[in-house]
Amino acid sequence: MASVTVVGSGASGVHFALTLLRKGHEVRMLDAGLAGEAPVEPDRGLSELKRGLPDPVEYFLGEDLYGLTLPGAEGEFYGFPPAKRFVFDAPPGLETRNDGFEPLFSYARGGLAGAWTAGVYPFHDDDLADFPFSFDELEPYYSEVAARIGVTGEDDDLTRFMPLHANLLEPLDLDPHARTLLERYRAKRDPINARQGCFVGRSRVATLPTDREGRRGCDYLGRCLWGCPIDALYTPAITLAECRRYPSFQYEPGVLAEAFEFDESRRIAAVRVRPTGGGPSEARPVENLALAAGTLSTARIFLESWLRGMGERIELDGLMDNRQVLVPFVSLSRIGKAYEPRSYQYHQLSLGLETGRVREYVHGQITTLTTAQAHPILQTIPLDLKSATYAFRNVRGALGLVNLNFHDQRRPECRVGLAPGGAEGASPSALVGGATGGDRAKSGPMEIRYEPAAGEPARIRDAVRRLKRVLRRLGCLVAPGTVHVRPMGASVHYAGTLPMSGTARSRTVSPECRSHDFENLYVVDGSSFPFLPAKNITFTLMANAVRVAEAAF
Amino acid sequence: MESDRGVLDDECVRFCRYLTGHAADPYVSEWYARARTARPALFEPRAPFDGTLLAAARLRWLPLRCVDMVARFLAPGAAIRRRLVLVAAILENAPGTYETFESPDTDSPVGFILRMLPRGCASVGALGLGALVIGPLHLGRRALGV
Repeated sequence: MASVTVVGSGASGVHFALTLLRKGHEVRMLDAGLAGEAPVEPDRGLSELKRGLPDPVEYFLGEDLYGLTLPGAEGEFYGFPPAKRFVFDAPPGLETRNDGFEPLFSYARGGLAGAWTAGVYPFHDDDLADFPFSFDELEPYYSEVAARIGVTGEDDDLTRFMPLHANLLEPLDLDPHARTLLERYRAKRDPINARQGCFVGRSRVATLPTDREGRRGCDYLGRCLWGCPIDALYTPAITLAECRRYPSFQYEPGVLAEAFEFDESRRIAAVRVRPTGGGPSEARPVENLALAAGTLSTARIFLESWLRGMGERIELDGLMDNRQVLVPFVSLSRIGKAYEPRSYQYHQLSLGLETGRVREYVHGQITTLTTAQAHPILQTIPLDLKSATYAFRNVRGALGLVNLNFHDQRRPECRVGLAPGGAEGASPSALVGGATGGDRAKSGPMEIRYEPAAGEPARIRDAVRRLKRVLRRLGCLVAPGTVHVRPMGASVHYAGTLPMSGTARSRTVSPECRSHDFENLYVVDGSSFPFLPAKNITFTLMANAVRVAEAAF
Repeated sequence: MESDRGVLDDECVRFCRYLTGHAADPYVSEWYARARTARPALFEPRAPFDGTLLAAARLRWLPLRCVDMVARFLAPGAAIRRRLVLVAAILENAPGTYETFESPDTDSPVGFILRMLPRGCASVGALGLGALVIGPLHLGRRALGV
């Protein structure tokens, strides 16, 4: 039996597993493990694909036109490419009931970060105030993860929000639009800093600028959105492949963890899994269990296990996510300029807007939309499509998008639970039938409830107003009516349902992410975060997973 | 079925010419026809107004522009807009036409404004004309139950 069984192959799970493997442990990973297809023509740029593929429409829109964005798509500015569809595909039987939250799940090999935009932003001491450790204690793990995945960045105006760590690589080349914006910011830095509390700098991204340790450096093919074909842009699938080279690693794809089984002393003895394609569940014995399935899937497993084992239907509160607001803009001086399709496509610049409290700063990622699909934008232009097409081709090289992210904190009204299942009305004990395992009556769908914090609209208004002023100073225009507040759940930065706590309260975990309810259970994904800054959390998920593996085993 | 395909091909040619100034090549037409199988909802009118707009759009270039503009503001989810967006999506990824969506034909903001002005005026005119003609046409069709 492996000494540690890990559920999930996302950013947390693979770095937790790799650390344990390097320490000599035997590790088994249980994973739904849906996989995508191999990238096509990995050396060709985007325009070359349109010219050279036998059927480019199938590649860009999908055989069933999955990538087509039709009118009424709720203000999203680019559609999801078919090549990454597998990241959000779900096996049947995992429905949710949602109130105020639109969750996204991934059952893909490598998890949700298979579709991330590679932003890596370390938390500073204020972000970590509710965590049982400081930045100095986490810094070695940030540096270790940076060495593993390759992180670019530099010491600039954003260092005030994002402390430096070791192993930073040189930044990627800027495209002409991003270069223009950064030069303008540098020329007008003082008033922008002083009047708007806004600071701009290079994004920290997990993309290799040059070849390194068997991975190729960015070739600026313009295919980031479509899935980097050369793995210059890091995804956890790369680390999973590294784990699989260890003889002491056992990878079991094609299974969904349903619940764990525990004895009267609350020691977990097994985890029940069922095939993703359907069929009866089976028990897998475990010595130590680490849940790294992503906050919502981990919550589902925990709630189901509690229900089956203790006959009690509980809820987990404190669900967090970053509210995101999309602010598209046009750089006036770039109108009529041809865009460079062979360029890095995700955010090359980021910004921070200070607020009254340091840890409540607003984080923004500036993307210069170039190789995204045109048709989702064309239909939003207040013109007929013919004129809109003409306008678009002339402003394409001038278009940009700021994705503002807002912090969140744990609140009791944001909760996850399980609805009563098929045996509606039966007593919980009749539903669960004891704690020894086996197939039993199932609970109903997971219920997710989220209420925005009081004062959120005012915070959004203030941030957008200040951002518009900054953009005006940078020579950019935000067209009226184009700002889009994304629904909660869209950022997929979920956290907070089984938080780290220094006191041994039920439904929390220790500073080493060991459950206070089950002695051999570890929760190593975002569930354990007691606070969610405005930053993308993936880098901290990975660093924390390494920290836990080092500290607890 | 053959006549259905004929109608789709005609529609595709008309929409392509409207968006790019050129007729659709067989690759684009083939994808437009495949969309009927892949996304049948695209081709199902959702409301009687849809039928009116589609009928007007099939007449000639000017009614198509008027219908497009009217639908943009009054019925953005109408069948005519969905089909036009579909054609645009195919064209922007097709080998012969993707550059239509990429290459600027002016090199300055002023040049852009000068070129956009007549187009913007034409769009506003199309909206006014469309509203004047399509509104009564729609009401008439509804009254007659056709």
